[in-house]
Amino acid sequence: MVISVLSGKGGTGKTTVVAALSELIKNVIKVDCDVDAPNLYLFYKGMDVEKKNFYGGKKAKINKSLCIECEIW
Amino acid sequence: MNIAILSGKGGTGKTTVSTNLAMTLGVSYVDCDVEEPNGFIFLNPSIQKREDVFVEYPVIDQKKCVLCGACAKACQFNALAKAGKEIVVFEKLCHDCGACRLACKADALSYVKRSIGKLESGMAKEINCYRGILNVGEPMAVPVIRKLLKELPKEDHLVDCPPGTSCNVVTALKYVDAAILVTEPSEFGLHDLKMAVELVKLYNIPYGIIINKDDGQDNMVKTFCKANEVKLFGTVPYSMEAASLYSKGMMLCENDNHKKNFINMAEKIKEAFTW
Repeated sequence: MVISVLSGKGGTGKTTVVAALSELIKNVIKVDCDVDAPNLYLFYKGMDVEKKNFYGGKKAKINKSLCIECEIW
Repeated sequence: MNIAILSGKGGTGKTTVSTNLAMTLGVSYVDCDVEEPNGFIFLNPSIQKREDVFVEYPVIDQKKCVLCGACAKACQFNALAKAGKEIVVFEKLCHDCGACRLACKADALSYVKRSIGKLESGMAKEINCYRGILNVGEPMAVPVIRKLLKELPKEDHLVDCPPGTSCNVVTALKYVDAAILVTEPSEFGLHDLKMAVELVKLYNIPYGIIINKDDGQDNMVKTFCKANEVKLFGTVPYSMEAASLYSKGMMLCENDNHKKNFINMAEKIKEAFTW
């Protein structure tokens, strides 16, 4: 079972509710997907066990020796 | 002069500060928190103009398409996929970049418009008010924010930004000269404030801080301001009265107990940004 906690408005208490409920329910995995400002971990004095980079889109690279600067756009 | 109001953390009081300062300064208010634009609830402007915001996405002429898949290969956003005897278009993933048309050798691609949100403008008392609204379920807010800010008339604006530090905020910052960061004295407020500070520094935007829900004591945000020599423009008190006015959608600057506070902050802001 995956339960999401959402709000629309910011600062209404999503993280507070998740932290409290997950502590009471026990045996649940807490997931912070507010990746822009992830705060859930601030409730815990833990240590990172794993950390890795996330790669999304690709970044364009221009080969200057081939580019004719056509400005097609 | 355009001044951004941002925060990192959501719900710290960006809209409260922006609407009250705009009224106090007598400058226009721009709500570019297009996913949840709430500022008009406080200002209640009479809307004079509404327009749709469009983006374009590709449509494929099945008669011309040779199913080579070049368009899908060119698309870096997975908006096109070759599925059996068809090219499938996922219009919401399209970033409107035009690469698919360049890649198509069969001239089978053309673009059509679709509305993803709208812009509204009007007047509240003597100030101009503008906002962008993103349709619910739309993944991309940037086109709405960009159109809103690009087409603003030349005047002084307070720009109420979205929370966070991602594309939406970065887009807004491209159109501003200075920033006010609104935070609250909590671990969470400070944590996200630091991210917002990093962002404005990255773009060399002069900034200062306003603390909302301040209990008048020394706190971690004040310590942070002192330690980093960051200008503190003022505070909004942690009071039942302020919370009550806010919850009813009323303006603090129109209340006798809070008016002076906003006048003081407005003065400090004008001085700091030599405005």
